[in-house]
Amino acid sequence: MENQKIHIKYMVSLRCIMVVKEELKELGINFAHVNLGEVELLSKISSSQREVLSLRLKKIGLELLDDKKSILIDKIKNEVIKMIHHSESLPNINFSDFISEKLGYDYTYLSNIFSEVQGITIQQFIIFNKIEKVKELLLYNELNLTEISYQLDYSSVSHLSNQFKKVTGLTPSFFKQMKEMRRKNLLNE
Amino acid sequence: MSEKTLKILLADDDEADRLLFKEAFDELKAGTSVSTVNDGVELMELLQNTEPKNLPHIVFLDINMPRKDGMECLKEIRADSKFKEVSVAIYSTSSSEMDMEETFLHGANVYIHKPNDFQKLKKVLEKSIMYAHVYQDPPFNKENFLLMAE
Repeated sequence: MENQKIHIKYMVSLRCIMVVKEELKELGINFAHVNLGEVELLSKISSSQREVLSLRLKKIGLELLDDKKSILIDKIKNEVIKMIHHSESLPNINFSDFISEKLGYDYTYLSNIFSEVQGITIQQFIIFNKIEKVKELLLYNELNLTEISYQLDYSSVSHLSNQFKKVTGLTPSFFKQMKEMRRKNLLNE
Repeated sequence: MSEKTLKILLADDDEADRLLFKEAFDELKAGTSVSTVNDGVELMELLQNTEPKNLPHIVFLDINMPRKDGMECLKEIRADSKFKEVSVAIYSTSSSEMDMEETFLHGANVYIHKPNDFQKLKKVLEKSIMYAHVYQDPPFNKENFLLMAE
């Protein structure tokens, strides 16, 4: 069974992680990892433990997100990953409507929770995932850029190329060429 | 996107630059812990003596350093499987495409064209860190982590 995750708002530094770890230890809550914004627990916490943790975090300027919101963030990420990486084609409606419909919440609400905890917007998360998929498809060498742009629902090749350049600083063709040359180079070294 | 604290190791022989980078990282409040070394020789010694689990997530290298420069360090890092999970960012004041190609070719993940302006420096570092964070988690494939930040 997957470990339970809890999400904490306003964690911004290494110090926050150390403080949260101390609080968890003092409360006898076992955890696997504490990352910025997220704690992976080894066992479920009781509602009274949760209440005490929430109060103690509040005192140090942090906010424990309720279970419902934590689950929503994971669901948003999973939906985006599923949609971009594990489906044949993208939905015919825009992403915000799609996610909003899938999860049954207003998009602005979802978007606000996501940004507060993850530090990037849902749109940025989607763009990163799409560019990653473009990279994969480029390296498979089965589709050309026009076909890739169609598959990932870009309005044109230049739209895809511009977004790719904006995100990675490189053109898709330079990326592909560099990856191939690098693979050969590292093999020969 | 991962929320893990990114461990950063910076190698630069110029003390003013080390301080500048450290200040920029601190101001970004991006969940990073930053250590510095004075040159490539110190860097490689430190990396070799570090337990695998404590290795930095990303090493920032000045391309021009005495004793051992950024490119030599990059080649040594990429030749050692112990460091396969370590991402490497190289920065240079040169905007030559040749330099960029050369660093990518030898396995760098990020090429930074170092700006003179502090605000711009913060921006390029922020972009590099954001990417390094993103590439900690699947479905992002570290092998496809290539970024040019300027």
